[in-house]
Amino acid sequence: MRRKAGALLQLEVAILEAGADLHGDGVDEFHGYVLAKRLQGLQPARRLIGHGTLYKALERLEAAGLLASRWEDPQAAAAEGRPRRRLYRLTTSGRTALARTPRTEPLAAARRREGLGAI
Amino acid sequence: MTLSLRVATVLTRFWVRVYTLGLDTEARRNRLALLESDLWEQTHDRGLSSHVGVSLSILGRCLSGMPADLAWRYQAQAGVRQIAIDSGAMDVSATTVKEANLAPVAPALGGLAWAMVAVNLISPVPHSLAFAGAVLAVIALAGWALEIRADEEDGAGTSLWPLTLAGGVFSIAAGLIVKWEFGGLLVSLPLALALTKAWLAAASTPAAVSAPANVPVSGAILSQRAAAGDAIALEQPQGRQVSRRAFLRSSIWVGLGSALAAGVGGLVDYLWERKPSAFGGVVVAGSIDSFPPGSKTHVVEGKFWLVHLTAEQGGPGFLALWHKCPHLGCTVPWMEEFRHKDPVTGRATRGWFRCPCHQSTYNHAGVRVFGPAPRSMDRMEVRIDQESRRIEVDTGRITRGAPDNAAFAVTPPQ
Repeated sequence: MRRKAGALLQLEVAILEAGADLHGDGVDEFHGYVLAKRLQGLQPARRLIGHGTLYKALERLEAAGLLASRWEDPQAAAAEGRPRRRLYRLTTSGRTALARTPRTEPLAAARRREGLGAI
Repeated sequence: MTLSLRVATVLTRFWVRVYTLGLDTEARRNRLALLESDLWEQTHDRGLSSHVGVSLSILGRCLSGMPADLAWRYQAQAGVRQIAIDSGAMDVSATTVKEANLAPVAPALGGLAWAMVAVNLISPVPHSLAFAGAVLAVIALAGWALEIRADEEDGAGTSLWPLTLAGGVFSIAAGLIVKWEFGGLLVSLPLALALTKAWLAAASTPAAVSAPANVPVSGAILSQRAAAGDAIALEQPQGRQVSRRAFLRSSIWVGLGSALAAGVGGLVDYLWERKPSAFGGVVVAGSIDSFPPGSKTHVVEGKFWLVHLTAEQGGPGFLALWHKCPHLGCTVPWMEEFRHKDPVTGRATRGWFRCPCHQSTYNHAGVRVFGPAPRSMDRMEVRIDQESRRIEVDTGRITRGAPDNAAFAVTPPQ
């Protein structure tokens, strides 16, 4: 399957959707695991997404300018006794791209199943 | 931390270290930190209760992400991907993936295919189709791996390579079943022709083709074709280079065609009527001179012992004795050192046919002297070609053995 010009992959759309979803819940910046859990609810398959698949897709979206990311402040992480998080957030371009992308049917169905509305 | 969690995190950490090995420190450290954080978050996620469940989930995520990890590593190492974006229209369209030029590979693969054809013609082995199928399978595997590496969709999507691989495996299976000495040509010849075509196309490309905008002509036609959905047209402005895509596409059809041909060929071979050449037909034992008087030669192909009887043994002449014991069907060996009393002379002599199953014992001419066998060893019809002096045994004409076996020995021409 080759990427069609201008099209986002289903996974990429799902990531953007999940990001927008988290934003709606007041989470502006999210780390990989939180995103993976949110994706689990959006995707037809109910398992958590693979590490490699997730972080490669995030890297791709960041390279395309749809996501931005930064490393968390080490002090904050140390205070909570956990490793540093990589924090991602949707860019304006990301939101525009999501708004322009037609919802794929499985995703829309999954959202309905979860009782989630359109983003 | 429980044992299962420890195992899952250790394995995942190990895998990350393996696939980032040798990358530059920055990329590696980032990747390790990403995973470290992810592992910590998941193991400390209070929403999930069962430790074993979390461990399995971590392992599953590690496993399912492996293809993407490998693709990521390849890209990180080669640094070939650039994504350009048109921020206004928000297209991710300008994704460029390095297109490997397969021109250097085509001659090598073509040479391999022609070598397969030559080897098959020079030494036709019974299961050549299986060998050719194995080569096809290897090529399909390599093509599949190349495609996974080139695709940025992490191996998701439909590919015809698995089908080609299946074709190769099918050819192997078909080749193992049918003994067709030239069956391999069904796979190797089309493969060779197609690869040669790709090779010639690559060779006719001018050397300066790699320079961009070398072919300004026919742009309109190409964009027309591109609009009509011809993906190859998009690559044509590069010149007559054989693109990876075009090459992969044509080799997929070659693979599928070969597999189909192999299947049909196997079926035709299976249904083809042929004369029995081994047991059941006429078996040529060899020249008279290669069987000295007194010799016993086991001709396995015809399932008989060719016996050259001396005058004392009831000859002179040739007898073909079916090696199947008339008692219960065991294969009877000639035992040169075995001693047994000859009922005719009353003396013990060496050298008898003796069945290992129930000790039925037969003399030089296959006449039963001892044991549970109901009769003497059965005879096959022996013919001697006067001109070529070759001994032919008709294994389809078997006569029940009798004490007068030796009387049927065929005398060789002087």
